[in-house]
Amino acid sequence: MKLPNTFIILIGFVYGAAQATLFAQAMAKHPPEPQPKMEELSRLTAKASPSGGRAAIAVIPEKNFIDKFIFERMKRDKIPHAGLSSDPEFFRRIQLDLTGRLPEPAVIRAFVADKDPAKRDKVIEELMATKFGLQLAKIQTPFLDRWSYFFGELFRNGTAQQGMGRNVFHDYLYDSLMLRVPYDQIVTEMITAKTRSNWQDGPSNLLVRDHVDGAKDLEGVNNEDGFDEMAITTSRLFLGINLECVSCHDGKGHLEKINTGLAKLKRVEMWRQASFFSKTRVFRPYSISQEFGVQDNYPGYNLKSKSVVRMQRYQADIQPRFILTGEEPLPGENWRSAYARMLTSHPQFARATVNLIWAELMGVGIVDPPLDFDLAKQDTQPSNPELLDALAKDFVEHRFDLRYLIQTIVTSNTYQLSSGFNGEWKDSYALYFARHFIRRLSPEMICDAIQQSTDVFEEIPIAGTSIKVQRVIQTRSPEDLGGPKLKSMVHLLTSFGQNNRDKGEKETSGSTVQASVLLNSPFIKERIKPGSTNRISKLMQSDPPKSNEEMVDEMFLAFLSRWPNASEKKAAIESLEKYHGQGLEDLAWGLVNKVEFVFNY
Amino acid sequence: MIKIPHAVPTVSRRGFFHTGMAGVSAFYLEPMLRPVNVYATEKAKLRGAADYCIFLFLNGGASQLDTFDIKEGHWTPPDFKVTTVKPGIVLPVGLFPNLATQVDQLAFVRSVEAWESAHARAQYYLQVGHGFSPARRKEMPSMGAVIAYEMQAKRKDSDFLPPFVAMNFGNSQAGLVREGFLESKYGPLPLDMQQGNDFVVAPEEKNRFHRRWELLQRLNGESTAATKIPPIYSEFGGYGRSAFDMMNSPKIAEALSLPAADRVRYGTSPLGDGCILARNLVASNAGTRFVMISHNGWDLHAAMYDPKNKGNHYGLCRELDTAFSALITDLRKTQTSDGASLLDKTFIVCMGEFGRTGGDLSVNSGRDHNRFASTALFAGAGVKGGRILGATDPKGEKVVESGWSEKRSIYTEDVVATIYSQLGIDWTKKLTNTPSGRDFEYLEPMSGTDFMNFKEISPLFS
Repeated sequence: MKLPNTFIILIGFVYGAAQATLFAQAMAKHPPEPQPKMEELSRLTAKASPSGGRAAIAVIPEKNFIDKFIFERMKRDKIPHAGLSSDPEFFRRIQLDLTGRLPEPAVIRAFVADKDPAKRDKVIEELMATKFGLQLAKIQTPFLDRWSYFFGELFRNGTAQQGMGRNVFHDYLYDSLMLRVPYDQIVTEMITAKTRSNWQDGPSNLLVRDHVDGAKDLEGVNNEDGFDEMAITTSRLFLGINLECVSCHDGKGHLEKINTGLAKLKRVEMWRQASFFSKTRVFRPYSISQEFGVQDNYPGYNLKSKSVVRMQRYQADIQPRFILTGEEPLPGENWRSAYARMLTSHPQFARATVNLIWAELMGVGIVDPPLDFDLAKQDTQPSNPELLDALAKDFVEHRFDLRYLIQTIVTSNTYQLSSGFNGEWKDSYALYFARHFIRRLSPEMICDAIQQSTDVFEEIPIAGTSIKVQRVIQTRSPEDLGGPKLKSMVHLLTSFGQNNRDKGEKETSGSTVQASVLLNSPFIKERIKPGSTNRISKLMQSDPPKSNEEMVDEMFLAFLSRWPNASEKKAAIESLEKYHGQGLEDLAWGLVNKVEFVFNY
Repeated sequence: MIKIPHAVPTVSRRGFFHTGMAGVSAFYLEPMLRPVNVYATEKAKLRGAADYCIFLFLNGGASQLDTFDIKEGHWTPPDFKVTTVKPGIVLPVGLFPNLATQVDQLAFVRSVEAWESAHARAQYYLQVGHGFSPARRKEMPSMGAVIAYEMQAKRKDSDFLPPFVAMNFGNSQAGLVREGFLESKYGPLPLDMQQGNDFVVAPEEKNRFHRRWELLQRLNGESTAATKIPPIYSEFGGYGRSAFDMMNSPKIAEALSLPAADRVRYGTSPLGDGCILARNLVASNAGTRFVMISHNGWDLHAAMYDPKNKGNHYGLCRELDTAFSALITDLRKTQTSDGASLLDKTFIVCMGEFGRTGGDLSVNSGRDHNRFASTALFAGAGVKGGRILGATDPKGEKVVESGWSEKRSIYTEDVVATIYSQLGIDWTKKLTNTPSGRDFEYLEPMSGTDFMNFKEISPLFS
């Protein structure tokens, strides 16, 4: 589909407006919970200390239904919880979660100074809003960058398998988020995509990504293995059920201790789920290794075909049958359409989706790991089953609107609790979300945080386009990061466990290598050295000149999004007094190496 | 439209492990503090001859019949110079001029079979000694982590190097397998020779580095004194301190240095550089026990002998020959405190995740995956060199002679058992109280088989 930019913008306006109207209507039907009284909220936010909230503050006002489920449960079980996050704590968190970026000192100051009791809701609105410009290229918001990166990573979008299909897939996800396309529609478009080339059709890339190469097939594709992969991917990402184990063997005798729901499944049931894809032919139309067509003209699942990745198959009845309901396609219905229909209309689709987004924002899923549901334990596996159901129901009622979902979660006071906890913390409190979870930042966010706090950015060309970006989170996939100029950046990213979208795993644990990068990488040292145009030199040259104390405040805000405490301030000012400009460079280095720099707390 | 040649069919690199990219699970939120219960049958007789193990991993699967199990046929290019270098030992001297002079140090095992024929699964198998299980992926530690865990008791106060170092795993399809449910200190220190590392502070930067470190301590002053540090912060802070200790050691620069003359002698390749580091790490005797170096590029489905194909079989063999032979030479001439050579204390293993199809080259002038035959090389720590165990058919595709008292081929588990035995680790042990509830046996039957009779490859040593 090639449309002139202006046309797309027009559609964007119309569609965006329509979505906004729908959203407004939906909101009218479901008015938000009553807001807390002004003075109550300001009392709470004022009381929270910068180093963390107070435990067991008597009442946290309910912002929406999430708070009702979370706080009622804690009250019932007499679980103490953290107080509300302080303004700087909340502000750093919301910026990182919604945009992947650190806030600038001036913005932090303005936010903290703002007396509006609804300022948190306001900043959430602002960060999520799409600012329409006159040219498509200008329609960019950090929110869209961060969340298209999230979905790009979730769907393992990259050039290695998809070639230039990567860029159209990225654009598809970006536009879909911008236009607030309902998630069930996005998923349906991906599952039912038909195209002559994935380089022309964004959504087809999800299935293309799951092709399995086979030596014998003329088109170089082992379609049967591909069906299994497609069933595993779609069941996992959209239903939160991991069929990988039962793609090789029955669950019985293997999975009882791991997942009682999966233990009941048979391999043939997984085949029948895969069979919805069994008329789908993924092929190479142009003898180009990463360009694929997707059509519905494959003869069907051949159980005799040789698998190159799992145990060989045997004869069985493999008519398509939806694994959660036993439903079969209607007569004459396209099998992939039938699958998309059953999948997106099943409650588990909404449950898995809200849980996934919840985990991304809250640090841990209501079911965790977020894509490992045990369907035989629907009442006991989720840490708060009622909340999970309520979130799913609300998501469905709001037309699978991802932005609405994200907004609902981050608006809640549950999300806005402090990660600090005064009092004796017990691990059992974690399942109540009694304080905010602390998470290490993603490799991309750490890299961008270093760039932004030092105010020195790389120029990263996006492969296959004339676009250049500054931040890793704006790239389409790690394959954009090549060449000697970006070597130290790539070393940082790989050390922190960047997901190469192939083995599909993002490392989140720490390591000695990561620490060594922070202590001694040229990526950091070059950014704080004298003579370059960086935050330090700009600070030194500010007019009128800043006092040592002002410079220290500014540095803490730029790097850690907070003001220094008394002893930090003393140490920093001493360093400045003793070593002047060098002292400021040392301080920048010290702030990058303070543990909290690489955490979202 | 750009036309590029048809893809060489390979098993798709398709994100095989399907892990949660949003896997922000409680699994990592707090460090694992699970007590581990250990059970051992103590039935195995352990050799304990080695203090160190260096594993050269021919990533992608080297062709056995074009290397150490050479099968001459009309497909063999004349410049392989297939030569009898010693009675009974025939090698393509054109490819391995240096190793050919060192066959007395090397034992060639030609009867190795793998369980898997797809890269990701097979590479996982070779690192872990267990089949890949999606259910146990997160908790299964790799062989290197088990070695680190087992050898912790031998760690000296002065040791500043991590027990397990893995190199050049950046592009590998299975990725580097880590410590699983074991403590993070047993996990690998990953180094990438092409990316370099940040552990060495340049001499002219040392003052500044220490000044900055001191400032950091002062900035942390109050918060470290308080008790309210979340465990996840103290854990990360711990990595900072161990990195600082490494960087602060006067010996680190030497251990991680790549002298220009050595680089030339080792072939100026990521493998060569990795072997220099492996030599240095072992020679430092400062805590490193297991070094696994990935030699990337052996998955030659196409244009295998083609001089126009950069990174073809010739280039890979040259890299391996230069680096491996220099490593043996250097370890042999380095004396340890008790007068033995470092090679006497270091067990070297060199193998890929599987072998390749034999006979004629494929239509793409390459060789495809073949799990039924490959060759492994062993040296050091008591290995009797200059010998060959096992044999394959004339096409080099199937094992016809096992080469030991067993009537079966040699499997990954046997190799792992041998490594453990050499290092004095009881490979019949199991650890219980794992997160999934399933015991972790150091070696266990391949899923779907009851094959359990693993053995160390004792003929290597007699």
